[in-house]
Amino acid sequence: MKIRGGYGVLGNQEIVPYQYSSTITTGINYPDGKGGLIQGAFPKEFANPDIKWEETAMTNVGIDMHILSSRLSLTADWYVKNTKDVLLTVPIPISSGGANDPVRNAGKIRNEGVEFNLSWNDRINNDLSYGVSFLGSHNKNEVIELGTGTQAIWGGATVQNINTSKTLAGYPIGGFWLIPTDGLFGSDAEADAYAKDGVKIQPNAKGGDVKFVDTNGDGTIDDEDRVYMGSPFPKFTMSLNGNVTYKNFDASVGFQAVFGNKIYNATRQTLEDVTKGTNYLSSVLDYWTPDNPNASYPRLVWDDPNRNTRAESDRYLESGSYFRLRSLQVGYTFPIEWFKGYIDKARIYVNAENLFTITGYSGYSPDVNVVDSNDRKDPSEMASTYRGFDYFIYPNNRVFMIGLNVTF
Amino acid sequence: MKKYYIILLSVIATGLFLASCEDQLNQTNPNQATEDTFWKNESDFQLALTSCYTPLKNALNGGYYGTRGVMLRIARADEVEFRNDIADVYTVSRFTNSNTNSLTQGMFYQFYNALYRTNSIMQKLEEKGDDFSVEFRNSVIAECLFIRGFYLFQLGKEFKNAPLKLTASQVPSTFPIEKSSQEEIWAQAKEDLKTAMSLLPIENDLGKPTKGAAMAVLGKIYIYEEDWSSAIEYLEPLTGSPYSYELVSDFYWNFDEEHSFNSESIFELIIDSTGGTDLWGDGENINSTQTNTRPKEYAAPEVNGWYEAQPTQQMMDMFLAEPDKDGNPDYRARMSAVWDYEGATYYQQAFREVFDENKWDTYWILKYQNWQTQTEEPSPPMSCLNERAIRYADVLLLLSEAYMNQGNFSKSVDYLNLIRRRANLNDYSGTLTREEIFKDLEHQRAIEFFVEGERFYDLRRWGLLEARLQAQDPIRYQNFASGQTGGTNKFYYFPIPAKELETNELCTPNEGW
Repeated sequence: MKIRGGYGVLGNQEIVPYQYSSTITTGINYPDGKGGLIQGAFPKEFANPDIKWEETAMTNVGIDMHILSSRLSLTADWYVKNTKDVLLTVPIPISSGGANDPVRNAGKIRNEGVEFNLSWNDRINNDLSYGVSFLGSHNKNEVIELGTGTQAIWGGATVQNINTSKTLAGYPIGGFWLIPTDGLFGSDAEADAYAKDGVKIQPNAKGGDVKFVDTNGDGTIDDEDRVYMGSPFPKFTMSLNGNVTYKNFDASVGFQAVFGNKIYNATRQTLEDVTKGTNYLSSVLDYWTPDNPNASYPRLVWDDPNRNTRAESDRYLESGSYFRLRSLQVGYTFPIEWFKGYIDKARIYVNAENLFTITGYSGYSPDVNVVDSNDRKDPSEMASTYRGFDYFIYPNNRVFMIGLNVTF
Repeated sequence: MKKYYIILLSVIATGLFLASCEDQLNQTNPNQATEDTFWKNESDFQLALTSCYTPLKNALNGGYYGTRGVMLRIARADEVEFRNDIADVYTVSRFTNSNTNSLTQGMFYQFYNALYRTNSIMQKLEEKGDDFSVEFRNSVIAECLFIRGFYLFQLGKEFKNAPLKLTASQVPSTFPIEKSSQEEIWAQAKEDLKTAMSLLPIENDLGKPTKGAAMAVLGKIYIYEEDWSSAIEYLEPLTGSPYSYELVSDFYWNFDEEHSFNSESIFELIIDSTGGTDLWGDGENINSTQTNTRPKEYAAPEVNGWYEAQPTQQMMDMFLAEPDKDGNPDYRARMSAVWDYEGATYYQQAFREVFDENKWDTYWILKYQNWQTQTEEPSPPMSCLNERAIRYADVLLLLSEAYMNQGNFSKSVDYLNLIRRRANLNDYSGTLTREEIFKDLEHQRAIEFFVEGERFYDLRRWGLLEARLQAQDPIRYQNFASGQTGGTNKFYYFPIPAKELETNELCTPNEGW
């Protein structure tokens, strides 16, 4: 058994270089009215002359154990990573006139977690051996300090330009901040009765519209009512692998699971919207009418005066936990005597990947990393402050393979 | 011992060497020109000055005279009806927009984009002052202040209260800024325009501002503030020498390619085919087009257009209310819109041949369309019709309004008659009372400036928006009425964009938003 520990500091400067000086954009031309073109140029890129690298200090303590004649082994680590002067694209006010959001050293982030790997390997006799391993990890992510003026960075914009995630101190990066909903109004009278001091909280609502919770109690539903509703980062990820070898057969199986993360289903938010003349998903058929009061979809109404389909509601936030059979492989190694020395080894196998996934997520695949509708316009500006945003993510394929390994 | 000295000497030598090459650690970007090499001579300033015009005509991201900017300016009145194609325009037209609307955000951005550039230029000019001649400095400042004043007027007109940014800086500590009131914004605009006016020439290169242009905008601001005598002070001189503005005899010449920069034009945005071919980018790169897609947006599908908006019945009623001297419908109506009447042509074919019988009762926009020069809108859509931002007709009607409000009815009617006669209408024949004259004034402005982005703002400042909207479309009016807040309506102005509220902690939302 071994106990070990370590400490180190690492720098990171993997951003586009030369961002400390403002580059000149040329080609901002204007016609001269006589068939010619007047050249124009301007240093319009906002730069950051104080930019420097970010530093991560990592401390870790771990143990390694091999017991029961090395059949059972355990490796576990606990770590803390503190990153300071984090390089982030920080949005700046439009009134500054800036065309872009410059990269700044914007704060401190802390990651703390545990990883372990527990495995058991045994050989029962000459013909049969097997092994099982279980890997798990838990990570907690928290922004300690954000050095921007407003202390918050919004991200995860939908096509309607509404942000769904916010990064600010005391919460994980890219946490989802949305307005909680409380079902549908059962009737016009119920919608009218939802008032504060005699003034209707949702003046455009009728029976069958979505009821939003006025969390700050100010009598209106707006961005001030957004609350923290979850993190795109899982609380726990694990994988479970097993393998068996019997005579010339071998088989291995791998499971993967993730728990505790949330996904914002922007695909559904776009496709479920029937208020402007589009009609895509059959889930909308279960819409509210006085005869169908327990419907999942609100009443059908042109123009959506109550903004039932607003992107900042929690109707589109779903749990992203899943359990998946990642790979399954069965193989047979041909006995070497068959080849009389011409071939050293021949093995035939069948392999299946992504056989099944058990998840409560209603989208195509809970394997969502990030890409919001703005990233699709410019993939080089990948987001670092938000995750878990499903905007028409292409789902994983189920793969079946058959193969032959031959060694000469 | 010797070894020790050698080591010590080499350490000291290395230290000295390293200390002297600190500047070698500061590198300039070898791949692109940066600001350290800019602002050196006159041509640099000219380049920068030219770049101040694209914010005015940027097509897709809110340029005030660009395609989407024009849509936002005509969407909220009773003259046209938009279909549900471009979501951000549609929600604005139906009064269901919110502060995350990306086109109103774009419009907001272009104002500050132009402010940043003009402010930078003036600041750098001040820094380098003595390197350049007084003449050069004045001509640059004149142009910058015209653009800044012009844009500050639009900013107050669209957002009412907004940050008044008069310095350009990339330092983050300067970013948080409070809103100023519309009054303060317009006060600054007037000051800028007065200085510009004193420095601008009476005639200038095509597309560049003139003394007359500055005075026209000044006069308009005073009208919006209901300061009639000041308005007259700046607008009246434009009617005589040394200015040679005159209404052109053919109304249509204000909206075609052939007669750009005619005698009625005071300030024009040049839309030309001399640029590149990129129609859908950010408008600020070497491949960007200098044309626009405006005609294609409003043309009927039968002529390869995108039919985004059509004239409303209410507008057609106004167009056809008064026939001209020869008994025909108002010439301006026939040049602004098309409907099924004898002799009507659309894109060089008879109306009834272009459209099927079931569409003979539809109306289509003709102003700023290529309907007399093409048989259909081309693909790719690259039209070259200049946007006339300020026309002499506007000056005359504003003067008419000012005199009417001062009680000088006969002078007011004189100006009205100039517009009427150009349109081949009979002279004004109503009574000389404010009520009757105002009715005709509203009527003439509606017909004269159809889809030129005046109607909504006129109705708003006259307090007639509610009445006209309700009459034109009661359902849309309901959405509008839900914006009632305090004594006003939040939909009179656009909301401060959410991104600004999220990043500028001193900026508060607009009233009712």
